[in-house]
This record gives sequence, C-alpha cells and structure tokens, in this order.
Amino acid sequence: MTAPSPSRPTLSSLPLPHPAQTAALDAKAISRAKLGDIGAFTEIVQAYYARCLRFARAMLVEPDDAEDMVQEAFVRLYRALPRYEERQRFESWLFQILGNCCRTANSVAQRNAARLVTDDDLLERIPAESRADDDAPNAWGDSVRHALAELPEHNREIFLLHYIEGFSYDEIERMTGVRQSALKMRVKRASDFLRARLSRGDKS
Amino acid sequence: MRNTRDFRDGADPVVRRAIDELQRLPAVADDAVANVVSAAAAARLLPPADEPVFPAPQRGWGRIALAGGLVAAAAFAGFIIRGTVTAPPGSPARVATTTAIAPVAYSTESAVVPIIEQFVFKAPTARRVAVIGDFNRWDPSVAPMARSSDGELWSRSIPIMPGRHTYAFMVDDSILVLDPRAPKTRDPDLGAEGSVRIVGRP
Amino acid sequence: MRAARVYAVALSFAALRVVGAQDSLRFVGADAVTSRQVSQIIEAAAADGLPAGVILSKARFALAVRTPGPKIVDAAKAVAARLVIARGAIAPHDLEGDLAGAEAALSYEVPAEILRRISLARPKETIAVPLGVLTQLVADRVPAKRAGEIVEGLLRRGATMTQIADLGNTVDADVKIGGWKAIDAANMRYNNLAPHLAPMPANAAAADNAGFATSGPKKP
Repeated sequence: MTAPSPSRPTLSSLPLPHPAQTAALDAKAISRAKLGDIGAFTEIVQAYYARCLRFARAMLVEPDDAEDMVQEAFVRLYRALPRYEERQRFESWLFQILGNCCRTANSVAQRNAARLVTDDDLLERIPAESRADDDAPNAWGDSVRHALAELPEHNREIFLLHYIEGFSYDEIERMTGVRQSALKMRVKRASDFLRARLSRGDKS
Repeated sequence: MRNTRDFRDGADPVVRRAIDELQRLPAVADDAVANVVSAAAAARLLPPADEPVFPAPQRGWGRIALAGGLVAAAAFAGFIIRGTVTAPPGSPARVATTTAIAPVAYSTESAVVPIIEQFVFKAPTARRVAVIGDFNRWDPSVAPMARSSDGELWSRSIPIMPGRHTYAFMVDDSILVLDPRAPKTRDPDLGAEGSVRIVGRP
Repeated sequence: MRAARVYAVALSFAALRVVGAQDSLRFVGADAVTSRQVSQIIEAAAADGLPAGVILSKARFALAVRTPGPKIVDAAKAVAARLVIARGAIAPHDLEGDLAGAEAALSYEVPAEILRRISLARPKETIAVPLGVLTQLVADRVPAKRAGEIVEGLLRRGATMTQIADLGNTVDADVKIGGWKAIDAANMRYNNLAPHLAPMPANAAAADNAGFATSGPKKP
C-alpha cells in the first residue's frame, strides 16, 4: 500500500492546518488505525508529521535527530494504539509521546555532551537534503531559534505546546500533570526571556 | 474549537513575531511518511516475546484475541475450566447492563471515589461474556457485557475503586480468557495469570 | 457536568452496594472440606476487622482457574496473614483499597518497610494507587527497593494519583509493547516526570539518584 504524496508545504506563507479539518480526519482514521488499518495510520502520520517535526526540532538539543524522534514517537503510538481509550484528545496524546521521546533524547544528549566530536562526525551529520529552514538566509529565524534553544527545557516545552501547537492550559495540565499556575509561569518566563533576548538585536 | 491565534494575542509583539517564525512548518521529505509507516508496521508485527500470537488475525488485527477460536484462546490463556461455575447462593442479582457513562472526575485527591472503567472484548461467536475480577469478587453474574450491534465486540463499564486490579473475561460461563489488550500478572500464590489494570486516571 | 457527576457517583455507590457487599462473604463451589476451611479463614479475618473480601476474591479466583482444594486453603491463609502484616505496615491507613494494595505488594515479596515508607509519604490520603503501581513495577521485575524509591519519590514530590497511575501504566506499556527492561523504563519515566514536580524534600533524596542506568541491578 503506497501513501499518496501530499502537496509539499512551502515556506514562509504556510497556513496552519485548520483544526476542524484535522478533527474530521482523526475521528474515523483513529478508530480504523486502532484495528490495525495501515492506510488509516498513514493518513494520521501525513496529517501530523510536519507539526511533529517542527516541535521536535525546537525541543531537541540536537535538532538533527528530529526525524528519528518523530519516527520513534509514531512507532510507539502505533504500538500503543490498541490501548488508546479515546479519553484523551488524540493530538495531545501524540504530543505527549513525542515530548517524552524528546526529553529522553535530551537527557542522553546532555550526558554525551562531553564527548569530543571530530570534523568527520560533523560532516556526516549534515543531512543530504537541505533542510527547509535553510532555503533563504533568515537572520531573524536564527535568532529566534538560538534564543529558544537557550531556554530551560521545561519552559521551552510548555511554551511550544501552548503558543506553537495551540494546546490550552487545560490540555497541557492533563498532558503533563503540572498545575496550570505553574504552566503559566513557565510560559511567562519563556516569553520574558525571548522578549529580552530578541528585542536587543531586533532590526528585521 | 481551538484557535492558535487566540493565545498569541495576549503576548508581547516581539514574542508574537517569534511565534510566527516558530510556527512555520518544515518541508517534509518525500519518503518520510512512508518510512515512518513502514517502521511502525514492522514494529507492530513483532510480538513481545511473552505474548501469545493468536491464529489467523484478519486485516492486521494482530494481537486482538479472536475468542471465537475457543480452543486456541483457551490454550493461550493458560487455563480452562470445564462445566459451569456456579455463583454462590445469595450473590447479588444481575445488574442491568449499562450503556456508556461519562467518566467521573475526582472532586479532591483524597476523596475515594470509584472511577468508571470500560472493558472491551472481541468475541464474535460467544453467547455470553462477563467481566470478572477482584472488583466483583470474581463473580461472573455481576458484570455481564453488552454486545455491539455488529456482534463483534462486547463491552461493559464498571465503577472501580482506584488501585491495581486483576480481572479476566468469562466466556459462555465456562472459559476464562485474559484481556489481550492489557498487561498480565502471574498470581504468586496460585501461579495462574490474570489481566491487570491500574485504575487511577479519571 | 455537575449533574452528570452526581448521577455517576450515585450510580457507582448503588453498584458498590451490589458488588462486594459484606453479606456475600460466603465461599462455596469447591469441595465441602475446602469450602468450610476457606469460609472459616474468611470469617476469622472479618471478625478481626480485616477486609475479608480480599480473601474471598483470591479464593474465587483460585476456583475459576481450577486450583486444587488444599492449594486454595493455603492461598487463603497466605492472604489472611499478609493482611495482618499489611495493617501494621500502613497504619493508620485502613481502607479496603489500601489494605488490598498492601497485601498484593507483600505477595510479591515487597518488604513491609517499603510499604511503611509509602504510607508515611501520604498519611492522610488513600495510597491504593501508589501501592498498585509499586506492585506492578515489582511484578514487571523492577527490584523492590528501586520500585519503592520511585513511588516514594513521586509521592514526596507531590505527584498526583493520576500521574502515578499513568507512570505505572506507561512503564507497563514500555515493557510489554516497547520491549524495554522494566527498570530502565521506570527510571526513564520517573526522570521524565520529576522535573515537572516539586523538588524532593531534603530527607528523601534516594529516588533521584538513579539517573538513566542502562542496566540496573538484576532481581535475585
């Protein structure tokens, strides 16, 4: 069974997938995927892959691992699908899994940070295809991503979940178990930091 | 309906521009989706070493038990009882089958409130199925399951106190089958296996 | 939603009256000798103020899996004895769910001291869920000491029962579906969750020291 290829999203003027459309996809595809329907699962991956990649790249200490991380998350999700009881919104479950994978990878990466990396290693890690964000020199984009990377992981994650992925505090509380007051504090800290960091050089 | 723009409106203008930048979706490699799906399918086909593989799954249902093959199911379930299990006299009358109930939320952490738990079991050729577990003292008459309209699935929602519970499904009053979708545990006193559910999430 | 919640609670209490009521503690269905002996054990436990329904559950489960009579009696005795230990270990917790959870943990040879520590970590709340997660971790072959540290660590850091239940279920899925070793999965999930919790109080730091061991101590 081959997946039909979706139209490739282009860069700067990319509309977000409308929440209503994604919701219609989910309801039927998920129940079919639960029963092992690979075609339905493919639809789900297609619907969410780009968002997951975006999230993983922003979350990971080593963003080059994002594709692997997204694949890992979808594999875990697929294996756990029979146990998915639909008490939780599918998207929040998906991002919960992805967040766990990213956090795990980050812990490992931090432990390995002391290891020396040779030039050869660096060369091997540049992916063959140029990444989407590299299309045009984007100083503002670079500043934003550098600033984001400096945030402590737990602040960064909640900031991403809320402002980039659009989860409400209610949902994030249910996904992470952290109380909403603490979540809002994290988002505030992240915003303050970004504002401070990005206002200085803001000429774009 | 969630609208990402609503959250952003409260933010500082610099932060909003940062959010705009971060919301840009990356391009997806042509084979990325296919690779993910292949990896997932491959992972799904490999059963964990200690789980039984049921015969003749159809359309990739994999590990969902087909209790229609009772002999096979019983062999993998690890034990069979023949004849009927009689309910002790004085046991409670059948509780009317309930349809789906909305989950109850905890009012406070310390209130010990039962949580509605749903049990689902695929057994197209069974005549009767009951949920039987420590929460109903393993009494098959208490929690008979209702059959779905297409005849394939049985389900029952039961209020259960928080904690760890063991259970199984009693098929046709004679065969005990584990829940293929649940973890198992081996009883330390008896050596027999039961399905496990930790109830604690409303 | 409030009306629905009230309805659901009323329904559940009605169901509770039906299920596991104290007047249905009689055990029948085995041979006469076994039935009588098990019934005596149950009655003695009930008279002692222990939740005898736990014994009845074990006996009925034993019956359902065709356990020979003498073994059913032994199992009933074992449960009764563990309930006594459980009561001491987790005092003053005395709800049936708590005692049943402690008894199950003891059946997997979790030392009573670990139960006591968990009991002390939440003196005023039911601990059925943390005890259940502890038991399941040990059943998945996480060494009892480490499982106890993790559960106690979660409790002392203010984890909710939902979080604890989720950790237990997630570790189980990691083991059964993801092929992880239980101790690695348990450590990983604990470390994933810990940053979201309150800091560990000074006197109970053991849980946070494990890190990401890729090979934990083997259960003897």
